[in-house]
Amino acid sequence: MLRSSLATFASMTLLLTACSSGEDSTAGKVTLTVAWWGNTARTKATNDAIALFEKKFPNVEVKVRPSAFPGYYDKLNTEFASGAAPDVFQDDQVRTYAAKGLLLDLGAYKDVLRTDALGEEFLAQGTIDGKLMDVPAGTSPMALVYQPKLLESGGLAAPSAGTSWQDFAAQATKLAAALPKGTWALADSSAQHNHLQVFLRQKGKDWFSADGKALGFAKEDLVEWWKLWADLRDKGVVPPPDVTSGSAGGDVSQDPVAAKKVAMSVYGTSVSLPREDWKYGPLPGEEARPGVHLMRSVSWAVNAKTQHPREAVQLVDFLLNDPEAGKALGLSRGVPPNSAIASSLLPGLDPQDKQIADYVDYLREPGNSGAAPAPDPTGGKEIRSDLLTRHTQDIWFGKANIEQAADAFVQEADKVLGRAS
Amino acid sequence: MIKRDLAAYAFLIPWAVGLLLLVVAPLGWSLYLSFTDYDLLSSPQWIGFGNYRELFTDDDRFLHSVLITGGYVLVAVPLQLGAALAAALLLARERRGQGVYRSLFYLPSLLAASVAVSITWRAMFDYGGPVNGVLGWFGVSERSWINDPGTVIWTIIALEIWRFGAPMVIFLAGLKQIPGELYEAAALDGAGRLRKFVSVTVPMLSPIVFFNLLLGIIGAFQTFAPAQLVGDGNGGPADSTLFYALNLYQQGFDHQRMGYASAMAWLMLVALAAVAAFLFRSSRRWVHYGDNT
Repeated sequence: MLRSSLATFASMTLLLTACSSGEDSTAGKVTLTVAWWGNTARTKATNDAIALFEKKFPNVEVKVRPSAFPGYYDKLNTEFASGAAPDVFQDDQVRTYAAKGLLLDLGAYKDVLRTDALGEEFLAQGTIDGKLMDVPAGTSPMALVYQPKLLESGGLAAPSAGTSWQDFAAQATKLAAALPKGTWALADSSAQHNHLQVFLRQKGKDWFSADGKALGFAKEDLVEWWKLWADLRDKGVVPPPDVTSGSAGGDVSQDPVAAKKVAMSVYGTSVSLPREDWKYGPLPGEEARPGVHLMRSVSWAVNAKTQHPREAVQLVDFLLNDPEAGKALGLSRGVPPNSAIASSLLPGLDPQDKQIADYVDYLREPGNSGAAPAPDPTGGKEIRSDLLTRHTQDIWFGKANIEQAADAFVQEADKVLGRAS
Repeated sequence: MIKRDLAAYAFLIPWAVGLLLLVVAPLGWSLYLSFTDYDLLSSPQWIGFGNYRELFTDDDRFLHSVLITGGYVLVAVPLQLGAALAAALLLARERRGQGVYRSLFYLPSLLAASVAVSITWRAMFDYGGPVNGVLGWFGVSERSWINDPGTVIWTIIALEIWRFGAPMVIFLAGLKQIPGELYEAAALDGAGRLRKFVSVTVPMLSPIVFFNLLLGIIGAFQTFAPAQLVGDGNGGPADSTLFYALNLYQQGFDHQRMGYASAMAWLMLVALAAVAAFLFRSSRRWVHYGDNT
C-alpha cells in the first residue's frame, strides 16, 4: 500500500518536472516582473508601453505590478529581504539601494541600453561613483503655477524669475486682500522639501553636502525659510495649517492646488497635473542663480539579482528610447529624458501638457536652470519628507517655535546621516 | 497505551508545526533581531543592547508614543466599556424587537475594524463633513477635527467607543447569567434599582468586567489601523497620532530599522505582560466569582 502510493507520488513528481522543463526548453520564454507606483493614468500608459515591448520581444513575458505610493517601498524592501524583488522597478532613492549592492550597473550593458539620447543632466542623477545605477524616466522640475483669472482680479501680473522672494511675498499679500473667503493667495510650501531645495540652491546651498555626509545648509537657512512662510501664514496669505496638512498623508485630492483653494503655488510639474485654469511660470528668485533643476520625477532601476539582466535592461531601454513606447507613455512620468522623444510628443500634446513641455524647454536654455545635485545619501528620504514635515507641523501647531524646531531638525538629521554612513 | 499516545501526537502535528513555524520561530527571530542593526537590505549586524539603549536614552519620539498610547488606553477603554455596559443594560430587558436592537448595536463593531470605516471617519470629521454640518446648526464654526493635533486623538477615541459591540455582547451574556432569585431576594430586603445594581449586578458581573477590561487594554495598546488611517498616516499632524504600534511600523518599514522595531515590539510584549499580571493580581480584590471559594 505504502509502496504503491510512494511510487505513484514519485512518478507524478517526475511527470510534473518533465512538463515544466519541457515548456522552458521549447519556448525559451523569459519572465520579467516590473513594479512602479503612480495614478491610474500612469499605470495605463505603462501597461500600453509594456504591451508594445512584448510584441517586439515575443520571447519575453512581462508581469506588471502597479501600486499606489503609500506602502510601495515597504513592500519593495520586504521583497528584497526575502529575495523576491521585481526585476525592474521604479525608484527615487538610488543611493539607498546602490549602496547595498542591490542595483545592476547599467553602464555594463551599454550595447543594450542606449544612453546617447539621454541628456547628461539626467544620467548624472542616477550615477553613483561613476556607475549608472538607475535612469530617470522623466523630469518634474519645480515651477510656479497660478490661476491667471484670480491674479487679474487682484490686479497682479504673474511673477517672473526676476522677482525676489520678498517682492513675491508682498504681491501675494496684496492679492490675498482681493480674494474671496476660502481662497488663499499662495499655498504654504514650508513643509515641502522640493520647494525648500530650490530656495537653498538659489543661495548656492543644497539639501546635502557634496559628499552626502552632512546637511548642505545651516540652521539659519531653515529658520529664514520657515520665517518667510510663518509671516505669510500670520497674514492669512497662505491657508491655515489645518487646511494645508490635509494633503500631508499623501492624499493628492486634498492638495490646495488640486482643490483650487489657492491662486498660486510652488509645484512639481508631473505630479497630478492641475488642469484647466492653471498656468506655469518660473519661480521667484531664479534670475541671479537658478535653484530649479531638471529633477527626475522617478527612475527605472534593475535588480542586481535578476535572472535575466539583458532582457531587463532591454525593457528599460525600450521604455526610455523606443519612439512608440515614448508615445504610449506620454508625460505620465513628466517630460521624457530622451530629447528626440520629448520633441516628437510636442504636436500631440493638449494645451495643458504643452505648457509643461514648454516650461521644460525654457529650463533647458542656458542660465535658466542649475546643474543636478548628486543623488541623495541613504536616509535622505527620511530627512526630506519625514523630518521636515514633522518639524514644520510642530511650528504650525505651536508645539515649538522656529528656533527650537530648526535646532531639533538639524540634530535629528545629523543622527540619521550618522547612522547611514 | 503508548500507541494511543502516538496517535494523539500524530494528530497534534499540524498544529505543532504551525505553532513552531508561524509563532515560535518568528518570535525567536524577532528577539534576535532586536539585538541587531537590520535594514532589511543587508544582513543583520549584532549590536547587543544598542537598540534598547537608544530607545531609553536617545529617542524622544519613543517616549512620546508611549505617553500617547498610555493616555489613549486610560481614556478610551473605560469609556468604551462604560458605553458597552450601558447598552447591555438597556438591551438585557425583554421587550418586542429586542433582537433587532441588539443586532443594530452590535453592527458597528463588525465594521469598525475595517479600513473603509477609518477612511469614512476621516471624511466625517474633515472640512465639509457631516460632523461640521451638524455642529454648524449650533453655531460652531467649521474646522478640521482630523488635521488639528488637539482634536484628532478624540476622533480616534470616538471611533473606539463606537465599536463597543463586542464587549456589549459579552456583558449581555453575563447579565443573562445572573440568577433572577438574587434580584428577588434583594427586592424582598427592600433594595431599590440602584441598590440592586450596585450590590447584585456589579459583583456578579465583575468576572465579565475583568475579561473585557483585559481584552480591551491589550487591544487598545496595539491600536494601529485607526492611527494610521484617521491620522495622516505618519503619526501627524505634529506627532499627535504617533501610537506605539504606528511608531514601530514606521521605524521598521519607513526608516528600515527592523532591529529597532523588533526591540520596540519586545518592550511592548513585556509591558503588556506586566499590565496583565497586575490586572490578574488586583482581580483577587475586586472580581467576585459567585461561588465563594
